[in-house]
Order: sequence, then structure tokens, then C-alpha cells
Amino acid sequence: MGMVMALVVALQVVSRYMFNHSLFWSEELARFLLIWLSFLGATVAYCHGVHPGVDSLVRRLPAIWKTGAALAAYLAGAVLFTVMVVSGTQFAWFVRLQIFPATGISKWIIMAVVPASGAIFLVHCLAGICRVFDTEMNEKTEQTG
Amino acid sequence: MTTELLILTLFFLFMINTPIAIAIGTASLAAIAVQGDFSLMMVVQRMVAGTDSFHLMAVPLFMYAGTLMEKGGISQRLIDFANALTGWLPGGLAAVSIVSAMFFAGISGSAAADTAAVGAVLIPAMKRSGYPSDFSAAVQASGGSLGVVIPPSIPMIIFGFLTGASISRLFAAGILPGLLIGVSLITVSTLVAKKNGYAPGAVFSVRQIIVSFKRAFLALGAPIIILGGILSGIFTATESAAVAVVYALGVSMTVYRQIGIKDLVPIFTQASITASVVMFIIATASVFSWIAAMEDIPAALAGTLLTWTDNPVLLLMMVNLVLLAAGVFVETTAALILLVPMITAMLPALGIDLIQLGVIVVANLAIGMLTPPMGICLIVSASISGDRISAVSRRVVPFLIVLVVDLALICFYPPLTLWLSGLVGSN
Amino acid sequence: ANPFAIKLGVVTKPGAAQNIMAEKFKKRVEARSDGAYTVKIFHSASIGNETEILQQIQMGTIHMGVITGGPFDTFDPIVRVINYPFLFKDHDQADRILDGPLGDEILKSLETSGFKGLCFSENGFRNLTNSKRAVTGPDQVKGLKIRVMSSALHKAIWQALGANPTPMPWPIYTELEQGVIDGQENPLWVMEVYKFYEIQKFMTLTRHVYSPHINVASLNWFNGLPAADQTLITEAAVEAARFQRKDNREKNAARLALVREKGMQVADDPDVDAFRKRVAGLKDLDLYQAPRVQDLLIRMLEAVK
Ligand code: NA
Ligand code: NA
Repeated sequence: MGMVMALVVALQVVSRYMFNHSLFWSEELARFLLIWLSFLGATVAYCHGVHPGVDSLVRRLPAIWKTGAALAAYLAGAVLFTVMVVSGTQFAWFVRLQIFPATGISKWIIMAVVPASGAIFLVHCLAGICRVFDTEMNEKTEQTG
Repeated sequence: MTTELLILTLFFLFMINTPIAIAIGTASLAAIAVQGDFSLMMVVQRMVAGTDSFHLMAVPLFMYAGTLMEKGGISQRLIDFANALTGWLPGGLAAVSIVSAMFFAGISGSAAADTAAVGAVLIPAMKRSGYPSDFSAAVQASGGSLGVVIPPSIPMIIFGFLTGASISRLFAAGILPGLLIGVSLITVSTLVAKKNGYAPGAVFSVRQIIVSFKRAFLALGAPIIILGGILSGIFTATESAAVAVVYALGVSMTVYRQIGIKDLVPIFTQASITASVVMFIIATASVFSWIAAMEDIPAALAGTLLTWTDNPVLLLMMVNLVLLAAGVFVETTAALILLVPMITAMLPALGIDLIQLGVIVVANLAIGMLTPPMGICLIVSASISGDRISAVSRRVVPFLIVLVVDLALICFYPPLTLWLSGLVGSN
Repeated sequence: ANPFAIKLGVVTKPGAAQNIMAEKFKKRVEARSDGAYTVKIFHSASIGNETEILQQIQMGTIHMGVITGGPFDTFDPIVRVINYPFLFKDHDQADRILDGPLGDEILKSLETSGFKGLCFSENGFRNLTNSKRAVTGPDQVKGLKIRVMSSALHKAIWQALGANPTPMPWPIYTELEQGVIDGQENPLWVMEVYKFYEIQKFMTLTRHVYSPHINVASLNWFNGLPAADQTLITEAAVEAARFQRKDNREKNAARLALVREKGMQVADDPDVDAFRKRVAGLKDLDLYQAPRVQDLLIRMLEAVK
């Protein structure tokens, strides 16, 4: 997706200089690719845990507080992702009749990336919560056993 | 009420290590919900609007260019050339790492990427030459933070996106301050090396310079295309990034032959994920900007600062302090989006050019990249060298001091930024 | 929610045509209602671009907007009839038609999309500038790289005239200066506010498209107000629009003098008939094929004869 985006923009430059003809669809298409790439890429980054956060306080907390903070952080994510799914679907429906001028693509197709990525986020988020409980359990069994 | 909730939630979520993008999104969402008049669909509209920009496309594109150059042998050749140029100085490899960072800074647009790319090669090399490991990491982190001042620069792209300032002009304005910072960092590293008796890595040789220049000739084409293209007006910033991607693809696949078709998927995937981390912060932060604008927060904060003083010099120093403090704790993109609206609201009282302000903001955040706890260059460098962040941050102190001096020059000597950007245009 | 604290969105900076309309409206409403209504103007796109502001009005998040014609396109295609090239001959004709039954028909039509159309103020007639050569007729337009908005109609107009229309996001000063594009087309106030006279040598008063603003409110909100207040708001908007149009036209003379003084060559009287001939085929564009759009266009073309 990213490579297509780079090529589309480069093609626009070539077309403008070599053929003195400006492409109308290229800017819009590249923007759509950017939107999709940003949201879907962010879900992958979330799965890999590479979204930066501020861990300087949490690192100094005792274990039980750490677990609590991790759960709260996941819950904060879950709230946002749920809104992305619900309001995202609503918004895609809301703009279903609108189109983009140059390409004629319907806006809902672009907006659909929000509920779609929201759903993927939610899955990773739930998995994350399960992992927190698992570690908690394991540590307890280790302590007692 | 809405404002307090927004700020408190945001602060709380930051403290418990919620990913920054999510913290900003959820706090804004809570504020919108409490406010009561607004549809939650606004969250969705603003998130998409935040990423829907031709200018921001330069963010992933420069990251592709940077990754391709790293994997495709362009970076290595630039480093070899830098070695021939400055390797003979006392602590020569330290100077090499800074000069390499300057070449690379002209390409990748991201300080973290610069630090990782050059550091992966040079930190081990410095350690082999007997430099202390934490010093090597500190040098590399300082050089890497330079990456955001020398164009192309992702924070500059975001500043332009937020304020409507021309990204091409911001890029031009960053060139001289970037050179100034580069030279002063080399001076510091040379002095430290001389004092501690670190050996030069190479001997001075004109022949070596010529040989490595020839080898690096095509590699040097990349920064020349980007800067030349933008300064001469052949491309916009986004287009220059796309052309750089195509150039890097062409050179590394057909001339250097270091990457093949099958390497492309992992390269683009990895860089896309890195870019989407930045883009997702921008997405949720545009929800924040919207609710902040609705509730008049930037103007109110700027107003508060202005009641303390309306002396431009004092104001400018206050702005710097706020930015430095933000750079210490907050990730760069988030700091930009949270603070720039407030700072531009004070622009008339500051009495400086928007472009100069952009460079000041970016230079402050560059310093923030070197300061714990949230210093991305520090984190990347320390993870490459295997040192504790606290050990590296002690070694960074002399570099930080000279950076603050450079920052003062950027603030109080406008021609440093405005002379070159004036050549690009006057609006 | 307080229905008396009106939130109004514009994308331009203070001093621009939309802002003059918005500020006059604010003054009138606040004075007439003895402070019962307040108007807060969100300007400089701080809450979103024009399409997004329209969506926010539909959602009831904000109450009103002063929005140029183009963005309405995706909500209701009938608005594009006003943007038909070389439609109105002069300001009087534009006022007569937009303030008359045909204009009302367009405003009324917006109600299907959830907007209460109040009245038209103006961006103004759009004119061509470029850095390459003096343009007095369509022949000299050939091959010029002209920046246009991302709009199918504007693209079609400049293609029909033989130019190379290039879509590009605003702002475009640097791109003009560096020659990424040769020219642009906008109303006169843009020349002054954005200082394009510094970097463009030639101006042609083509007046190729009349660009209105439509002053809209959220239909739900508006219908929920007492009848007397509805009248008050509508009247305030109409008066503000009259003021803004007059103000804009009076300033145009000074703007023309300014760009001349700054060294621009202005072609006052280009061959409009030749231009009009080139674009005559555009009424058959797909854009105008929807029956009610076609129908209004035909009546509009009849009315301007
Ligand atoms: Na850079
Ligand atoms: Na920091």
C-alpha cells in the first residue's frame, strides 16, 4: 500500500513535467492510501506494543499497581476502540451519499477503515487484557507452588 | 468543566503508561461525551481528517526513503565518506557519527530512524576503537536528534500541517541552524575525546576522500535531490519524498544491488508501521485539537501567559521553557500537537516570523529527544549500545549545554533561519 | 445545549470575505436580540474544512456556517448550477437571480440535506492570473499550468479552455513563486490578502465563475427556534450578506489599483465570448445530467440571456 502511494505521487511529478498533464485522481488516491495505511498500520503497531507511552512512573510501582495500571490502560483503549467501531459505523452510514470529487469514490469506503481498525484494535486489546490476567495467575501459582 | 476533565484524564492516562495516541484519543472522547452537545461521530470525523492530508504523506514517504537507504547500502557509503572527511580528528569516529547523522538527517526525516541507522554501524565501531560505550551512545543520540533540524524533518512537516506554514520554507530555514548544531556537536566531541585521549579512527588522506566520494557519489544524490528539488521549486516536500523513494529504490536495486524484489515487502511493511505510529498520534490528537478549539483552550492558555508579561524576549524564553519541559516528558509529535496551537496564538506578541518559530519549536523538541525519561534518541542509542539510559544521559550533558547555546542563537538571531527560507519565498 | 449561543464556522482568516460576512452577522444578531443571542465565530479552519463544517452542522454539533459553493456539491448537486462558467454577466445580474426565485429554489433544496439555506453572500467573480504571458482570449491559455480546486467542474472548465488544470491543496504561494504551477484563479480579495501580486505578472478579468457563499444553519436547530427569532436570524443574515457584497465590490477597485501599482499587467476586457464558446459543451457534462439539475441549469441559462 505504501509503495503504491509513493509510486502514485512520483507518477504525478513525472506526468506534470514530462507530459505537461496533471493527474487529478492521483492526489486523492494517495490520500486514501495514507488514511488506510495509518489506521491499519496502527493496529499492527498496537499488536506489537510499539506505540510509545510514558513508562517512567509505572516502572517504579509495586507489581500489583503495575497490573492495575496495565489493565486501566487497556480499558482506556477499549473505550476509544468501541467508539471507533460504533460511531465509525454510524459515521460511514452518515456520509454514505457523499463522494470525493476527483475519483468519485464514495466517502463511506474511506470512513469504513475506522470501524474496521477499531474492531482489530479491540481484539488485540482483549488479548492484552487476557495476557495481563494470565501473568498474574502464573505469578500467583509460582508463589504458592 | 470540560477543560478540566480533558486535562486531568489526559494526565492520568499518560501517568499509567497508556500509549500516547490512545491517551489523547480517550481523554478527548471523554471531554466530548461530558460536554453533551456534540455527537460522538465527531471523534471519527476528526480522526480521519487528521490523517487525510497530502502534506502529511511526506511522513511515511521519508520513512520509506530512510529505510531503503539503510538497507540498500546508501547509508553505508555516506558513513564511509564521512569517515574519510573527519575520521582523522581526535575522537574521530565520534565526529564521523555526527557527520553521518548530518548526511542521513538530510534524508530520512525521522530522528529515531537516523539514530538507529547510523548507530547500528557506528556505535559498535566506536566501542571497538576503545571509546567508552556510554560515550558512544551519547554521541550517537546527540547526532540523531540533529536529524529533525536538518531537512527533511517530520516534526517540521507536522508544524507546517498545524500552522499552514510552507513546509518548503521550514526546510530551508532548518539548513543553517542544522549546520551550526552539527559543527558545535563535533567541537564538543573532539574536546571531550582530546581530554580523555580517545584515538583518531583513521589518518587524513586526500586520496581516501576522493575514493570514498566516488563510491558515495550516487548515494549523495539522494540528499541533493531532496534539498535541491525543494529549494528550486521543482517539487513540493511530499513529492520530493516520493522521488527520493523511487531514487533509493533505483540506486539500491539496480546499481548497488543490495536489495531485491523480495526484500521490498518487509522494508515497506516495517516503515509503514513506524509511520502509522506517528500518524495515529496525529489522528487522535486532531480530536483533541477540535475539542480544544471548541472550548477555546489554546487562546485561554496563551492569554494566561500573556498576562504575566508582554515583553517579547521574556515571552520567547517562556515559550522555550514550556517546549523544553514538554520535550522532556512528552513524545515529539504529541508535544507539537498539544502546544503549537497555544504558541501560535501568541505569535503577534512574540513578534517573530512563523517560520523562525517553527525552527525554534523543532530545535527545542530535538533537545527533548536527548532528555530522559521520554528521549527517543537516547532510548534508541542506549538500546543499541546496551547501556543504561541513566549512564548515557550523564554523558549527554556537555552536548546538551552546547545545544542550548545554539538554541539561543536560533531564537535571537533571525537571519540564521530566515535568510535561506527567504530565498524560497516570502509568504 | 444552549440554542441561543450560536456557533458559526468559517475556514478563512479574519479580514477574508467569509469572515466579514460572519462578523457583520454576529453584530446584527447580538444587537437586534439585545444580547439574548450570542454568536461565536470559529475561524481559520480551527474546527475543520468546509465539508467537515457542513457535516458538523448536519450533526447539530455547530449551528451555522458561511461556506463557499463547491463543498455543497457532495451534499446536493443542484448548487453546482451557480458555478456554471460565464453564467452571470455582472454583479447586478447575479444578485437579481440569487436573491430571486431561482436562488430561493436552491436554498430550499438544501433542506433535504438538513441545512436551512439563509441567503447568499459572495466570494466574488473568479479571475485568472499567471506568470507566463498576457491572456486576452482562450488561445493564450493553452498549456498554462493552472492550480484549481479539487473539483470536477473546475477541471472540466480549464481543460475545455486548453489549460493544464492542476489540483493542489491551499496554500499555493510557494508553488506559484517557484513555478511548480504557472497560475491560479480566484476572486480579487485573494490577490490582496495572499499577496499574489508579488509573484504573478499577468491578470485577466475573466470572471469565469461566480463564487457565492451560502449562509446555512442546521435545519433542526433553526426549526426549533421561536418564529420571531427565525425571522430575526434570517433578516440579520440577509442584511449582513447585502453589506458584505457591497463591501467586497467597493474594495475591488482598490484591489485592482493595488495590483497595478505592484506591477501586474491587468487585461480588463478579455474576449469573453470566445471563452464562452469554448465551454459551451459543458452543459452536457455528466455533472449536469441529473434531471432536476439539468432543468434548473436550463432555466438559469434562459434567465441570464
Ligand atoms: Na532530517
Ligand atoms: Na525527552
